[in-house]
Order: sequence, then C-alpha cells, then structure tokens
Amino acid sequence: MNDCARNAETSGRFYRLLLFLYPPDFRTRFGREMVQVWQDVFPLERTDGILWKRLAFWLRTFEDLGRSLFGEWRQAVARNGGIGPSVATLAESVVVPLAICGSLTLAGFTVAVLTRRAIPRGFTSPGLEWQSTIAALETGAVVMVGLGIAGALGAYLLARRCRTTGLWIKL
Amino acid sequence: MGEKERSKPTKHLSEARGPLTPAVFYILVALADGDRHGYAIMQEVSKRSGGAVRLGPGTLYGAISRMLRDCLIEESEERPDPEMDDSRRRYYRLTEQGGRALAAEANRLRDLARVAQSTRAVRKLRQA
Repeated sequence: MNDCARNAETSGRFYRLLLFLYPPDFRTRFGREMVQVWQDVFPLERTDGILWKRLAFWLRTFEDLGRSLFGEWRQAVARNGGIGPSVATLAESVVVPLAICGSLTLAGFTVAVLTRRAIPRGFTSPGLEWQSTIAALETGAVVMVGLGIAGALGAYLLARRCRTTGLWIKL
Repeated sequence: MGEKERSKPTKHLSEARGPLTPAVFYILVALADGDRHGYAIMQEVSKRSGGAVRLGPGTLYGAISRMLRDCLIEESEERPDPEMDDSRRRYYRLTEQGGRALAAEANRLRDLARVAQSTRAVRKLRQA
C-alpha cells in the first residue's frame, strides 16, 4: 500500500470516528453513505498534497460536522419527546463519554497545577523539585480516577434507570 | 369541516411549509431530472449553483433525512446503470409532493424577484 492510499485509509477511519458524534439513529441510517460520499470527495480534494489545501479540506469537514450536528441532535431530542428518553439517546452516543473524559482530564490537570503551586518553591536539590512535581501529578491522577469511578457508577445507574439493553456505547 | 374553515383560501404548498432552505431547494432541483445518489446530488448542487452551494456529507444527509421524513423525496429501488454502479449506494428520487414543493418555491422566488425588480433602487441600478 502506498503512502497516498494509507493516508486516505487513516483519514477515512478518523472520519468514521467523527460520525460517532451524531445521534445513533441518524448514524445507523446514513453513516455508511456519508463515509462513501466522503471517500469520493477526499481524493479529489487532496491530489496535489499541498498542506494548506488539506487543512482547508479538514476545516470544511469540521464546519460541515459542526453545522449539522446541532440540528441532528435537536431533532433526535425532539423525536424522543422529553428529557428522559433524550438522556438515554445521549448516553448511547459517544458524546457523553467524550464529555466525561474531557472533564476528567481538565479536573486532573487543574488539581495537578493547583497542587504544584501549593508546594513551596526554591528547592535546593533538583531531586526534591522533581518529587514535588510527581506528587502533584499523582494527586491529579488520583482525582481523575476517583471522578472516573464516580462517573462510571453514575453512567451505570443512568443506563439501568433508562432500561437500556445491550452495549451502552454502540461502537 | 365547518363553513368557516371551508371558505379559507387554500395555502400554497410553500406558504404552508414556509420557504425551503437553499440546501433543500437545490437538492430538489438536482433530483428533478432523475434519480441520483448522494455524491451525484452533491456534484449537481455544486454545478447548478455555480459552486456557491457546497454541501458536505453532514449537511447533505441531514437535509435528505428531513426530506424523506416530509415525503419530498423517497429512496429509489431502480438503479440507473447497475453494471457501472456501486451496489452500496442508495438512490433518491423526487416524489409528487416534492415536485409540488419545488414548483411552489420556484413560483415564490419568481414573485419575490419580480417585487425586487420593481423597486426604485433596483430600477436605478439597472439604468446605470
């Protein structure tokens, strides 16, 4: 497989992952066709391999994604008619896990920075300086794991409450 | 149906639905000449709009989803050229209701253009 084909395949795989941001019903119905269309367009847009053209293509892809995502989710929520089922629909998608991971990373990072700041500066030994940084990172990681367990428990309870069966995240 | 309701003038289809979005309008135009699959619709829209309207897969299939729900288009079982074609593609065709919506929107745009042409500002620009 040459570089061009490998690049197309990797990009296609990434685009498939992006489609997980759409509501499950929409993704199931149109996902394959969207990938097909995207694969038709991709070689035409980047044949010359100029970096800025490739960037422009990806920017257009994200713009298209951003523009259509909101509408599709709004319709999915409206179709389900109510906050209960809409929560279940949201939970089925990758949107919630992504939001949870993002929040956890942010929380862990914030805690690490705050902990590092709380440790007095001016160590004479570089070893002690390192130890304090590692301690800060460990605290951040502990917070992330703690929040992660709490989040997973919450998600499990939510899934049970919504009576979802099968895989929670439909991959 | 009451007498009062019956005496009401029948609304034009585009009035009842409201103006069509540019994406929906162009997709209807693209399908007016025959059945097409997603990529062909995308190309036709770009060609017909002189490159001004470029639909991405998300916008295209979002519009198609709504149009299927509103029965403006339907999935076509026939494949124009099965030998030359990828079987994974789905073809779409205009429904009778879609044709009526397209005609109504075209009339609405024509009337709108006529109103705009009759304004003093536009007349002045055309004379200049």
